[in-house]
Amino acid sequence: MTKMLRLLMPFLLAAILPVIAWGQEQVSGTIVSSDNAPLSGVSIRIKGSNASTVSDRNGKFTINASKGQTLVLSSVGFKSKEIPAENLPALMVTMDEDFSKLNDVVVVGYGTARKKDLSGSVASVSGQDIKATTITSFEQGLQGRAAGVQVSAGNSAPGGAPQVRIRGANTVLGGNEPLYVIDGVPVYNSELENTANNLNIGVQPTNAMATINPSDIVSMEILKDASATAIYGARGANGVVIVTTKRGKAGEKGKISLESYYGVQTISNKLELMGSQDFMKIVNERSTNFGGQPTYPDPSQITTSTDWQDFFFSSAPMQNYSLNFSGGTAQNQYSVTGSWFDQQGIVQFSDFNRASFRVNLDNKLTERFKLVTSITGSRSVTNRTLNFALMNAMQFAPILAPYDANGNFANLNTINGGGDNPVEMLYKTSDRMLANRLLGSVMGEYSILKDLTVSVRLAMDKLDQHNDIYVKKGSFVNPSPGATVKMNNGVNYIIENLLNYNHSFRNKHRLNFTGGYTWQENNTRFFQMGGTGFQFDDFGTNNMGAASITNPNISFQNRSTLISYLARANFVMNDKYIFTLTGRADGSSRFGNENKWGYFPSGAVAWRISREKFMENMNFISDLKLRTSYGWTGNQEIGLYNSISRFSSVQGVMGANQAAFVGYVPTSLANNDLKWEVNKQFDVGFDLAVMNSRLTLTADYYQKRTDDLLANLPIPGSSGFSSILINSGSIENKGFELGLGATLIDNKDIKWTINANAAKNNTKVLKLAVSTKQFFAPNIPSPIDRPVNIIREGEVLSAFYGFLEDGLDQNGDIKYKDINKDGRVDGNDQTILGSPFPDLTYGFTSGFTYKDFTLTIFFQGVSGVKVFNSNDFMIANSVTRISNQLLEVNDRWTPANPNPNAKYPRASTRQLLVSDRFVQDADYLRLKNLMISYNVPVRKMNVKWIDAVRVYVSGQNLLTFTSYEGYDPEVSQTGSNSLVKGLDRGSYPANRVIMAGFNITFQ
Amino acid sequence: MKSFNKYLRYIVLAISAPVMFASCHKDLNEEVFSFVAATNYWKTEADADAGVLGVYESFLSSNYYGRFYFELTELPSDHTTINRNDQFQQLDRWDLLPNHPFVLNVWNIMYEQIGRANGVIENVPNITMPAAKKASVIGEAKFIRAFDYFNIVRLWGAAPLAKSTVSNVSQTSLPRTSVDSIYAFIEADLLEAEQSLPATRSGAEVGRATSGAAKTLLAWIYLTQRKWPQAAAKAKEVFGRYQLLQRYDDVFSVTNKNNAEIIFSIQFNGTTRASSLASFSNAGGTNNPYCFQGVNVYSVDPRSEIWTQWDTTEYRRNYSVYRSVRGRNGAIINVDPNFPSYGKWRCPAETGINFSFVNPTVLRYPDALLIFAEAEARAKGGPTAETYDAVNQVRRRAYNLPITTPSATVDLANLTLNEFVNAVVRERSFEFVLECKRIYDLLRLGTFKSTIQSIGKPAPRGDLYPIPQSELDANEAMGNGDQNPGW
Repeated sequence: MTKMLRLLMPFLLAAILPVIAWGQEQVSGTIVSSDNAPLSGVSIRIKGSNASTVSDRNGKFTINASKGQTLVLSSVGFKSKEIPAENLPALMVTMDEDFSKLNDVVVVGYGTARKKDLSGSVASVSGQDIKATTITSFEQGLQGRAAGVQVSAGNSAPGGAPQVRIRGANTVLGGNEPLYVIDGVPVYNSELENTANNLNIGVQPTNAMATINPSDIVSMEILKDASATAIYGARGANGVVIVTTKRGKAGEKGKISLESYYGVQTISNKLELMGSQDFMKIVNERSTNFGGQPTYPDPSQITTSTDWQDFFFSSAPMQNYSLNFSGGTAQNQYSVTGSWFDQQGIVQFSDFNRASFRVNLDNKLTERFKLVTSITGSRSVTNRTLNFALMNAMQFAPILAPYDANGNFANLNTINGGGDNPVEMLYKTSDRMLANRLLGSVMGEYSILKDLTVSVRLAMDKLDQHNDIYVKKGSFVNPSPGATVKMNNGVNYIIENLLNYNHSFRNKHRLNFTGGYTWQENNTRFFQMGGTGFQFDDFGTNNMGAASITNPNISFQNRSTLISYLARANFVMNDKYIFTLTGRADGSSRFGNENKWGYFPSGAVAWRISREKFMENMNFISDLKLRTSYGWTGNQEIGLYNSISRFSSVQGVMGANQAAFVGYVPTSLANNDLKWEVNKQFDVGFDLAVMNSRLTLTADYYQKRTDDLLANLPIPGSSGFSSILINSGSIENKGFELGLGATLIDNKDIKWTINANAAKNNTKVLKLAVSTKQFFAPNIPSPIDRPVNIIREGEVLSAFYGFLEDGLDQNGDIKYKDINKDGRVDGNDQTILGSPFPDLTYGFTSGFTYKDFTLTIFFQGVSGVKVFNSNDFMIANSVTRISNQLLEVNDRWTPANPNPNAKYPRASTRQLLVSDRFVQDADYLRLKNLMISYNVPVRKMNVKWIDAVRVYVSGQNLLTFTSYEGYDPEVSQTGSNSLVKGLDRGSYPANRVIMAGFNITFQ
Repeated sequence: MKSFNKYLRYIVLAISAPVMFASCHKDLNEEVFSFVAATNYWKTEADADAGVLGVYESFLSSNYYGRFYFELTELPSDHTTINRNDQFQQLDRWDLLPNHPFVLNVWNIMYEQIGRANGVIENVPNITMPAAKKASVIGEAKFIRAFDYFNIVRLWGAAPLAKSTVSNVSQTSLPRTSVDSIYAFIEADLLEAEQSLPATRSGAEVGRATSGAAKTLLAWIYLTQRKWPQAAAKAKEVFGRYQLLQRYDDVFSVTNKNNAEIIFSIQFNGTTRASSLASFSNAGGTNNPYCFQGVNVYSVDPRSEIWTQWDTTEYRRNYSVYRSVRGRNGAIINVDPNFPSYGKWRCPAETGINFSFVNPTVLRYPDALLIFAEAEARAKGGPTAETYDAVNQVRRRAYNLPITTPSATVDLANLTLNEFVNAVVRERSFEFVLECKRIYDLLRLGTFKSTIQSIGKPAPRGDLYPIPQSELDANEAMGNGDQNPGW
C-alpha cells in the first residue's frame, strides 16, 4: 500500500494544484471551411498561454482574451491560422484545407508528433481502411496497407491468429511479433498455447488481439526504424504498432452512430479428390504392381462414392453491430462504444464471437489538469475444430460413408482400410476458448508551465482465458473421449511517469523533450485439469468429479518485471533540420544476474530540402524530406526463468498399488549472462510530395542486424543436459519499401485516389551458436516424423530442407538426386528447397468516388514464398498409405502406361521422402476487398435527426491468383513463434465473403 | 523569475519521482513459484527420496522404455521389423547417419539419468538421515547408473564417463573412456549396490531396485565380459529369491505386476505415466482384443528364427507372436503376412494407444537361470546337471509343463558345450522376445552381422551405433575422429 501511495504521489499532487485564472474579456466568432461549411472541433488557443477552447457544431466559439493577444486556430486537416483577439462576433473565420497533411499529428511512442517533424520511419493506417472488411482482429487489417508490414493470415479459421512481421523476422527463438500499444498501454499478446518453441500442430492458435474491437480504431501507426522504436527499448526490436481508438471531440454535439454489416462466407476452393472407382483402381495397382491380387477384385460392386469434404464445409454467416455515443464540451469529451461481432466458420462448428465495450473519457478538470481515461472490456468465444479432422476428411476412403443404414455414425474403425470416422469426430469434439479481457488506463496530465507537462499513467491489462475441450463418447479412438479444462489468468500492471517539454522559438525552431520512468509487472497463472471415463456426455467439462479417471493436474505461476527509464529529444531547426535522440534503459527480471540492464540509444537526422532557398522556385514540390537513422533496440522475449538453474517436479509410478510418485530433478543449467537480443538498424529514406501533395512518395532502405540471438546451444549430452540457452549468433534483414499515394482526379463530382505499397525484404541467418552452422526446427508429426525447416548460416530463416527428385526410374518409383555424388542417396543428399517467407509483399488500393457513390478495390499479394504441403504426403503419394488421392494422381506411372514423365510414381508401399515435390510455390495475388458504397444525401432530404447514412456492399477474397494446390496459399499452421514455418497440415481453408452493411449517424 | 521559483518545486518533484521508485529495483530478481532453484534442494531425507525417484523417472520417458529404447534395440536385430517411414526403416536396415534423431534421444536420456543419479550420489551423503536408508538411496542411484553405462558401453562402446554433476558449461566436455574402464566402474557401483540395497521391497517401495536386481545385473555384465565363473556364481546368488510362474502369460499380465518372477521392471500405471507398447506391438486396429488399437508398429520380421523356427505348438510361442487373432467382435483378424504381430505385451483395458500400463521387464528370473546355464557350462567346459536343470525349467514352463518335473519331450540333454550354448542362446532369443535383449546377445557373441545378413538384411556399416553427431560437435574433448568405425 505504501508503495502504491508513493507511486501515486506525483499524480495526487498534480490534481490539487490551484487553478490559475486570468481576468479577461470574451471574444467569439464562427469558423467555416472554404466551402462555407461550419467547422466543429477547431482548437482556439491564446498565443503564449494555456487558455484554449474549441468550436462547437455550428463552428461557433467563445474565449476570454485580452486585447492585443493573438488567437491560434488549428484543426487536423487544415492549415493553422492566427488572428488578433478582438470582439468580432460576426466574423466568419475561413480555414483552408491542408492537403499536405504535414501538420497532421501522428502518435509516436510516449507522445505525438507533427508529421513534418518526424525523422523516423512511421507508417499510418487509418481506421477507415480496415472498416467493413471481414477482420476479426485489428492486426489483420494491416495486411497490404503499409509497406514493410507483412501479415499472413496463417489460419483462416474464425478467431485465428495472423502473423505480423515488420521488416522481416529478427529472431530465431525469441518472439517475432511486434509490440502492440493500445492508447498508450503496451499490451500483452501472450496466448494460452502459442508460446515460443511450443509446436501445437493440430490445434489452431488463438489470438489474444481478437479481444479488441477493430471498429473502435481510428488509426494505427507502425513504427519501423530504430529512431521510432528505440523509445520502447528491449521490446522494440520487432517494430511497434500503436493503436489509437475513437475519442470524443471537443465542441461536438452528442451523436449516436450505428454501424452494422451482415455477410455470407463460402469456401473459396475445394480439393478435387478421387471418387470410388479411381480410388479402387489405384489401391488395386498397389498390390498388382508387386504381383499380388487386387484388393478390390470387382470394383463395380461398390457404388458408394463419398466426398468427405462435403460433410465439413457449408456457407456461414457473419455479422457485426457497433453502437457509438460520442460528443463533448470544451472541458469534457466522451466516446462510448458497445459492439457485437459474430462469425460462423465455413467448417461446421467453428465460430467466433465477441461482445465488447469501450469508454474513452477526456476531462479537463482545471486549465492545467487533464484526465484521460480509456477502458475497454470484452468477452470473446472461439470454437475450434481439430485440424486433423479436416485432414482425415481429405484422406478418407471414398468407398466408405459416414452414416449407417439407420442414420447413425458408422463405426469405420473395424473395417479394413477404415479408421476414425471423420464426420463423427467433427460432431463429437469441441474446443471452446473463452477470453475475457479488461484493459484500462487512467492518465493525469498537469501543465506545470506553458510548455512543460508532467503525466502519470496507471494501467492494467487483464486477460483471462478459459479453454474447455470435450470429446464425446464415440466409435473413433483418437482423440480419446474425456474433458480438459485449461485456465490462464494473466495481468499486467503498468505505471508511467512522463515529463514533456515542448517549446517553439520564434516559430522556427522547436524542441520537444520527453523523459520518463515506467514500471511494469506481469503475472500469469495457469491451471489445467482433465479426466476421462464419464458415464454419459451430459456434463461436458462441468463436472470433473464425475470422471472415473482423473488426469494429472497442472498449474504454474510466472512473474516478470520490467523497469525502464526513457528519454527523447526532438529538435527542429529553422523548420528545416530535424534531429532526434532517443534512449531507453530497460531492467528486466528475465535477464541473467550479470546483465540486468540493457541500454538502447538511437539517433536520427532529417532535412526538409523543400524548405531551402534553392528549392523556392520549384513550386510543384510541396515537400521533400530526406531522413536517416541508426539505433539499437532489444528483444526481451527470451522466456521466463531461463537464466536460473532449476529443479522441477516430475511424476512417475511406484509401489504395489502402482501409485504416482513425485520426484525432483535438475532441468536446466544456469546462465547468469543471459540477456536480450540486440537489434541494430540503419534506415535511410525520403518523403516527397508534389503538385500540392496530390502525389506523395515515401521510400526507405533499411538494414537490420540482430546480434546476441537467443540460441539453444547443444552441449554434450553426456553432461546430462542437452542444451543451454545462450546469446550467440546473428540474423540480418535488408530491404526496400515504397509507398505511393496519388489523387488522380479531384473535382466537384469525381474523386479518384490510389495508394500502393511494396516492400522487398531478405532475411539471412548470418551466424549461429552451433559449430555445425545449422540446426533443425522441431519434427512435423506422423507420417512425416522429421523436420522440414532448417536454420542454416547464409540461408533464410527456417528454409525448407529435403531431397531433390530426379524423375521416375524404370519401375515407376521416384529417383532422388545423389547431390554429394557418393554413389548413394542418404540424408547427406538433402538441400535447401525454398523460403517460407515472401521476399516481396505488396498492396494496391483504388478509391473512385462519383457524387455519392464510391468504389473501392483492394488488391494484396506476395511473391517468392513456398509452402510445405504436408497434406500431399497423404493425398498425393500414390497410395503408399492407402489414403484417398487427389484426382490428378491419375497422371501416374502404371504398367499399362509406363510414362517416365508422369507427375506421380506407381502405386506402391514405398514411402516418399521429403522432397521438392511437397515444397510448393505459394505466391499469390488476391482481390482482398471490393466495395461499392453510397452516401445517402440525408441533408438534401431534410431529415433533421439523421446526420449521415452510408450503405455498402462488399466482397472479400473474390479472386485469388495462385499456383498453389492446397486450400489456401496464405497458410502457416504453427504458432507465430515456432521455427516450423510455412506448414500446411489440414489447415482451415480461406473463405470468400459477400456482405452488405450500413453506417448511420443520428444527431 | 518569481514564477520560475514558484514552479521549481514541482519540477523537482517530477524529476525526483523516478528516484523514489529506485526501491523497485530489487523486483528485478526473478521470483520463482513453480519450481525450486537447484541451490535450494538436497536438504532433507524427503529430498533424498524424491531425488532418487526422479532418477527412476527417466526410464518412463518416450526416449527410454516409454518408446525409443525399443526402436533402438529391437529394430536392428533379426527379430523385429517396421512398416513406417524412412526414419524408422533406417534403424531396421542399420543404415543411418550419425545425426539420426532417435539415436541422439536415447543417448541423451541415458546420460540425463546418469546426471540425475550423480546428483543423488554426490548430495545425499551430506544429508542427515538414517544410515541404512542413506546407503540404500545411494545404492539405487548406483544401480541405475550402472545399468545406463552397461547399455551405453554395449550400444556405443567407449564413451564419456560422467562420474559427477556439472554446474556450468565448462565442465561438460568429457573424452571417450575405454570399454574396460567403464566396465570396471560399473562393477564397482554394483558391488556396492548389492550390499546396500534391501533384498525385498514392499508396499510403496515395490518396483524400486533390490540387491537381487543388482546381483542379476552384475551377472549379466560378467556374462557380457565372458567372466564365466563370476557370472555363474553371481547369478546363482539369486536362486531361491525368485521363482518361475507356472504360466508364461501370468508373468506379463497387467493384473499381476511385480510378481515373484520379476527382478526389475519399469512401472507404468496408464494414468500418471503410460507407454504405447501394447498398441504398437499388436495389430488389427480397435478390434484387437489385446490392446486399445493394434497399430502394428513393431512387427515380427517373418524371416527371423522366431517366425521360421519357433515350435508352433509351444505355449510361449503362441502367446508371444501371432498371424491371426479373434477380434473383439468375434471375427478373425488376419494380420498382414509380411508383418506378423507380437502378442507379448497385452493391455486390453487401456483407454488409448498411448495409455498402456504394461510394465516392461528389465530383469526376470529366467535371466538368472539362463545366465547361469550358459556361464556355468562355459566355465566347466560343458553342461552340468545344474545347467541342464536351469535351462530346462525355462523350457518346461514354455510348454506349460510342470516346471520341476523332467520332461522327455522338451528337456535338453546330452549336448556338447557348443550345442548347449547355442541352445541356451536360442532359448534366450525365444524367452525374451521384445524385451530389448536380442541385440545384446548378437553383439556379445559377435554374430550380429552374420545373423542379420542371413535373413536378407544388407551388410551393416558397423557393429556399434554411431556416436551422435551432436555429441561429437559439441564435446570439445571429442572430434569426428572419435566416431565409431563404419560411420
